[in-house]
Amino acid sequence: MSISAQIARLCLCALLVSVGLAVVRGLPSLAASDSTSAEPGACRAPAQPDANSSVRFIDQDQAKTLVGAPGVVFVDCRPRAEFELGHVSGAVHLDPTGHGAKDGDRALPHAPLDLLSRASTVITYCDAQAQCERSLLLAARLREAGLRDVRVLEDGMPAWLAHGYPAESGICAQCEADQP
Amino acid sequence: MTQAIRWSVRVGFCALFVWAGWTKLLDPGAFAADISHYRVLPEKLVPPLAVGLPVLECVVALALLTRTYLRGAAWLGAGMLALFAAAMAQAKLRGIDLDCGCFGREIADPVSWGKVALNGGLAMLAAWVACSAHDSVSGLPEPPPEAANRT
Repeated sequence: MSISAQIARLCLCALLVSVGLAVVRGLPSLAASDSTSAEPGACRAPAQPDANSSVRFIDQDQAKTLVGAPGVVFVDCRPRAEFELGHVSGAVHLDPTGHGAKDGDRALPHAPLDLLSRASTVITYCDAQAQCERSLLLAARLREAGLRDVRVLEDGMPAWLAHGYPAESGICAQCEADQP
Repeated sequence: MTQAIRWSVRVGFCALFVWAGWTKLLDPGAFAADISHYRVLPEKLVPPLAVGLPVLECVVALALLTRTYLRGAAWLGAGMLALFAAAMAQAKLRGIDLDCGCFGREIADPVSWGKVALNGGLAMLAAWVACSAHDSVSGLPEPPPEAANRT
């Protein structure tokens, strides 16, 4: 039997079993599966929070009341260019994927960390795409770094702008200072 | 000697694919989320792939132990491993920090360049199994035992 015939038969076999499984068990739902998201592609707290999860969320309205409050720092996790186009008023920029060129380097820049370590509440946000991975990643790292109250902003920057909540734009001066 | 090595590699791949496929089949929802985190496929394709891919891994694993389907299974396995390596590489290049989802969620397995290299190496090993199987499977039949004893 030729290789292509073998491959075709194996794929057909897998297809039939898969269809059978899908009929019996149904197709998996992205919404039900991702522990950090209530719906596919959304940046929301799960409907049934995992007791073991260290990530906490904050909704847009609550977060808005904390803009400018003492001890509260908003952290923008998006790329620098997007931060400069528009961000939550008073937010600092810290892209968890943009630092450390070497593989496995999980170090965060010292300057924002020093500021964040003095804050009572840190709220991370990003563009809310694909389960807001950047905000979740940074929140997890900040928790690892010892910060106690770290929240992820539900729905991120797009919803913030849509609500018309306080935002500003401009060059990231602190990014310049972080450059080695 | 080569036969023994090839047989060991086949059994090793079989165990690897069964383990990978079975853990994903136990929690297809979690695997669907893992696939979506790679951000390469439209969302509609993710759920069927989350069911189909683990099944294909299990089918390939079993076929690797047969004589009839060995070459096809080895090439399929090599293709899948190369595809996994490519998916991980694009995630690394785009700065996406994620778990590879290779063995379900029981094992935290972050994507790294080491993992990309490992999958690439395994793909080449599977291709070697496919190529080396060519002689013994589709080539001339092996002599019967009594004929071998006479010589």
